[in-house]
Amino acid sequence: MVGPRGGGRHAIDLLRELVTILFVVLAFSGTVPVLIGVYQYALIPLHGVKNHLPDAAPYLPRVVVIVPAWNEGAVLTASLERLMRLEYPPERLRVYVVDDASTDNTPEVTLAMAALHPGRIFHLRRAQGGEGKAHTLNHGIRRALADDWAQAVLIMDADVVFRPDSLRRMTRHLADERVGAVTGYIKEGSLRPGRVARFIGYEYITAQAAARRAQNVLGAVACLAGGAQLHSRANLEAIGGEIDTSSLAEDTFTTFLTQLGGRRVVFEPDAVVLAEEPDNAGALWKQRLRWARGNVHITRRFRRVFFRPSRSHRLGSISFGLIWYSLYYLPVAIVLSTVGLLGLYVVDDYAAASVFSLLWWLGVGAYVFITAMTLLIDPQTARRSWLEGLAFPGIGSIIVMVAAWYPEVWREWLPSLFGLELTATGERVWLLVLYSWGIIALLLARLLKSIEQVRWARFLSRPLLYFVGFGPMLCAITVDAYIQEWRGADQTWDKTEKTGRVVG
Amino acid sequence: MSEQTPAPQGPAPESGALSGSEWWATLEPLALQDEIEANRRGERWLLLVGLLAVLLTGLALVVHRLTTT
Repeated sequence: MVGPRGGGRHAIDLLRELVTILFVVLAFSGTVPVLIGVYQYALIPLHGVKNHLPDAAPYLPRVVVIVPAWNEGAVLTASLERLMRLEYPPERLRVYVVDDASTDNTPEVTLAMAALHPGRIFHLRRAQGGEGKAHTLNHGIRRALADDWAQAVLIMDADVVFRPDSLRRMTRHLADERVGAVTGYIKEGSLRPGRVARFIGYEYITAQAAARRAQNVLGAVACLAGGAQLHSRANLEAIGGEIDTSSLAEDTFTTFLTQLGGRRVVFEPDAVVLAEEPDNAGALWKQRLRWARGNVHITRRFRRVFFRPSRSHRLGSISFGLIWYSLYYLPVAIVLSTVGLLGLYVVDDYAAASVFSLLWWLGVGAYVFITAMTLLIDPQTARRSWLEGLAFPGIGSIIVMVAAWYPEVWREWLPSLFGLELTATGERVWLLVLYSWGIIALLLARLLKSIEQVRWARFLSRPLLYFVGFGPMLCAITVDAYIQEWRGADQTWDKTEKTGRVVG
Repeated sequence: MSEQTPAPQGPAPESGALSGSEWWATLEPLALQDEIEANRRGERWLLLVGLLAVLLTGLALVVHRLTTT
């Protein structure tokens, strides 16, 4: 066999080098969302000295609370009782329960509570229901703005429980007229949370207590929590006196409109609100798919806002844009990184091993940094969700990290435990599994949702959740959102079932 | 918006006889201002949290270095 000579060989070497560089770049593109995540976490300590509290002041405006309720009889009593026990001047607080044509005992529960607290709780009934939360909220907002009593409007979910001090800790920020809206810290609050709820408990520290503090520092908040958002009257009127009804992410839409109008949005970490969250993979998937699709719409709708710095708002800052897009880029990054590693393995297996080790070296650093900070930010939640915090990226990913750091563990130590020796083929298979773990985890997450619906296999869903990890599961839901959007699937408002497990 | 918190009804409580949260729950302007200051001080815990997280990360990397050389 005669090989290419001279210029031909040179061209092949050059091509090989170019392909190798391409695969290295692809492999390292997976680090972009990780680095942005670390950057976001690095901003959090700054919140210790850069927050809105110096501009807050004692301020107790007249507040209308809007509670959208569609068949919420099981949870309403607890929520309304908690609202009545808020440490807030009673004569400055009115609650409008907007009954979205419920078919359960929501009207009876509301009217019974209204009788117990005359002049403080009101039952507003919509003749036609089921159009979605935004329509229900708008019914209440129109009523709240119809006269000049309300100075602020609190939008909440029917199942959430406000801690007694939470509302006044939100209103104090409205003393600063530059602030249009304030959001509280939603925590998973079930008395006996299941495995999925424990993961959500940890996730809410990362997504709210951590991420929103970082966003406070940047001066741009991504989303007012649907279950606890306080608006000044001026803000609600400025955004048109109603919530957008065309999006599945109406909270985010309102948040963006507020800031684009030049008014600030503030996250108040000490205003704690407890919520019941889904406790199985199917319900979680349904809820998060709605959120993810809603956020895809927001990204499309406000695409001209990102990466365009403005004097009137901070949504266009480079930092905020990077943080916003990193979430949606994550599944793409996983695929590109895997393709890069596998391609590199084909053209230069030694380089593939080096890049793999480097990638996961960064992964371990980010994992320790982010997990440690998350658990320390909210020690109370960490006490019951620490295991889920450690297992958040999945035990599978932790095995990959160990394999990247200590290759001898899987090459020698583990097989020798069973008196075995790894063959060359076995080593290749192991390597390919390790290099492809990102994609494998996404596929397993999809499988997890399916096997939960199979009676004989259901018992596997819990160990599989810990093995796959909650993070990869959320990532798989984002992929599903992309697919649904690409297919043009219908937007439907699927209510998350609540049972009243939350305790204050 | 600029309307201030209404003046407290009745005599001001002896703040020394109440715990922090009970004092704040009186909703007196002074109590609410005290709560704001307390929460502001509480946020400074994040500076320590950041430092601890960096130290733990550094420790993990050092342990790795020591165990692989």
